[in-house]
Amino acid sequence: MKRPRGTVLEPLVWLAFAGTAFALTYQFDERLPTYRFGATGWPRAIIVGIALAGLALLLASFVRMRAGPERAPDPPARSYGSPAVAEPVARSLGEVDWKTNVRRLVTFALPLAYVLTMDRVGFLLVTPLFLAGYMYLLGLRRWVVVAVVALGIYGLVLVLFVKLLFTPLPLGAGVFHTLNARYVDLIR
Amino acid sequence: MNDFLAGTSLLFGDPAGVVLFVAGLIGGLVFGAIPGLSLLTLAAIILPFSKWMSATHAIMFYGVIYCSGVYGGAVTAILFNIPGSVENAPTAFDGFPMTRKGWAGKAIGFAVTCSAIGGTLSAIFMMLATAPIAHWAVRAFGPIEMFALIFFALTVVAGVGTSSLWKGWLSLLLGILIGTIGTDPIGGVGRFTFGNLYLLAGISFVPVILGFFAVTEVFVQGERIITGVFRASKVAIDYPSFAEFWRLRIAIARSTVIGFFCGLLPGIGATLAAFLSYNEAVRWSRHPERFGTGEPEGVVASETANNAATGAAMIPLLALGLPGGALTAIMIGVFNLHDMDPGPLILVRAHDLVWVLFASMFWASVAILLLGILETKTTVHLLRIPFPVLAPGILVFSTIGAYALRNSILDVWTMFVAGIAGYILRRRAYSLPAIVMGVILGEIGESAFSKAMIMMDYSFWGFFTRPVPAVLVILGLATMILNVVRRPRFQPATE
Repeated sequence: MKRPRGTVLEPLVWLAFAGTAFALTYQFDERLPTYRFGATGWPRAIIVGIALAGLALLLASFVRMRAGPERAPDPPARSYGSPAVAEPVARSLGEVDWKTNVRRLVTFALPLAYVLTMDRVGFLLVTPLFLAGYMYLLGLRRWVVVAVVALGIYGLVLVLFVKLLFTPLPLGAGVFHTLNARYVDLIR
Repeated sequence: MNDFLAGTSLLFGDPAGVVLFVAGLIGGLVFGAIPGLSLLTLAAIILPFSKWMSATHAIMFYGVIYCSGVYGGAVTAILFNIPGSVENAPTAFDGFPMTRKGWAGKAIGFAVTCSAIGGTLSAIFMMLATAPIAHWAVRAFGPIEMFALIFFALTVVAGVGTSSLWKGWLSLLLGILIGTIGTDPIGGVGRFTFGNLYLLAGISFVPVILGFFAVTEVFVQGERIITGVFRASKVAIDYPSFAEFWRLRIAIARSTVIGFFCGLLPGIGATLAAFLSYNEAVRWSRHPERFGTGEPEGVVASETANNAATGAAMIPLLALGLPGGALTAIMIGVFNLHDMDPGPLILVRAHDLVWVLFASMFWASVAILLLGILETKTTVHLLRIPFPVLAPGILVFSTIGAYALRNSILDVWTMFVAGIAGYILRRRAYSLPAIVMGVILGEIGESAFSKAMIMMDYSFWGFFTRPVPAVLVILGLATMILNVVRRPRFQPATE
């Protein structure tokens, strides 16, 4: 059964979001000589739609809560990406130890660190480390396999995108930019 | 017929043309089938090189990658739940559950055969009907009709892919709101930009698609691995039998017609075709509750329609100079690189080019069937690659795909932010395809709405004074009411 607090909280988040977005529309509330609804007409209509759908969701949550345990529980909402055939869902935070939760957090943090570093150090220098690091994070523990696969994917990227297709890739900043540019020249 | 034969002989009589045809075919299939890359990535990367091709070769090449790439995107949707492009999103609704059940070969078999059928029939219609349909479309479809159609499309999208109607609407409206970021279409006023120049140009939908589909899937599966609940899909290469196809003949015919007519509409063709066709398959089915659980008809409806839209999308492109989607927009860039403008005169001024394009798209659709059958036996084995090996590769390819379009690191940031947002929204059962559709349709919709309002002197009744928009608005309202009244279409989830 769903947790009532969580069920009510979600529509409230939507309502708060709609309120904030509506307030932000005053930053560009300009009259347009050729269009009566102005620059804010369309976004405000959409925001009102979000608020109405949020209210409907809230109402539906209250109806479900009032029905209580006597009523058969509604089927859990399902969207694209959570198919109805038995597919295990990741365990929630409380069900696993802290080490697993840290690893879980790193699953999201590592790609962000990758982009941040890529912007400074360049795609070509950071990518092999990221490939190896993410594989290790997801449980591949044999370093030889990790290294071979990472270099294999990296080699494919170099040949296909740098040598054959001349695809522009982030070169980093400062000394790394020079270094990466020379590296690209060398490959081509 | 003579024009078609002449186009075919021009295409295959020139060795360079044959090489480019084969390269486009394989390139589209490969880029479509690599998770994180798509036909758009290939199209964007190749664009500067097309300058050195002849105009005929360049346009033909793009026509071929359009056909093969749309099919290729179905492979990743089916095997990994990562649609190659948004028109393949409904394919994942049933394709991925089929893979989970160990029917990956069948799902890809249905996708390849129906893609070929849809594409081939569409190419034939395209050759027969370009001129008369173009004339009809010019007269019948103005901004009022366009907005009415988008309104209808939005009501369909809100009800597809989620069992909670309100979450479907919230997803869609969130997407439309994201689409308002940037300058407004009438006055050029910056909205939700917070003074950022990058945001003034709006959010490019390619990083959003990559983020919501590819990055989110990596996060979801990665988390399942870490928490010890990941279960690999089974590898199976069974091809569907003739009897299985025969049972779906009506769905194939219906989806071809829907796909072709949707493909004619500038801006939304193949994507609308796939969603509308899927929606109609559910509506007409005797067992609507099976959709979303691995129903082959869902794959057939989506893939037939999105490929049937490819040929039709060439009609507004060639006859009116209006792109039917992202790839046809890039094709306008190819025309411009060769100092040509697509439009009504292109059929007269570049007669050979047009017929080489038609012939190449016809033969590409036929070739997809042959290559696709071979590919079915091979691509299914991608499932044998352990996900920890595949995941960082997907992220790296997605990074290249996001960056290569505009050479902007901010597009890469957008992709990863969309990936994290997609992860949260997916866990709360919101519809990611509806958000992406909202981003795409919202921009076109606002532009059409503002023009329509000015034309109708700000009277909403104007939508009911013309037959086409009146029917579309009534259909949209009926769809909304039906979605509220009817019980959820999908089976309850077992998770």
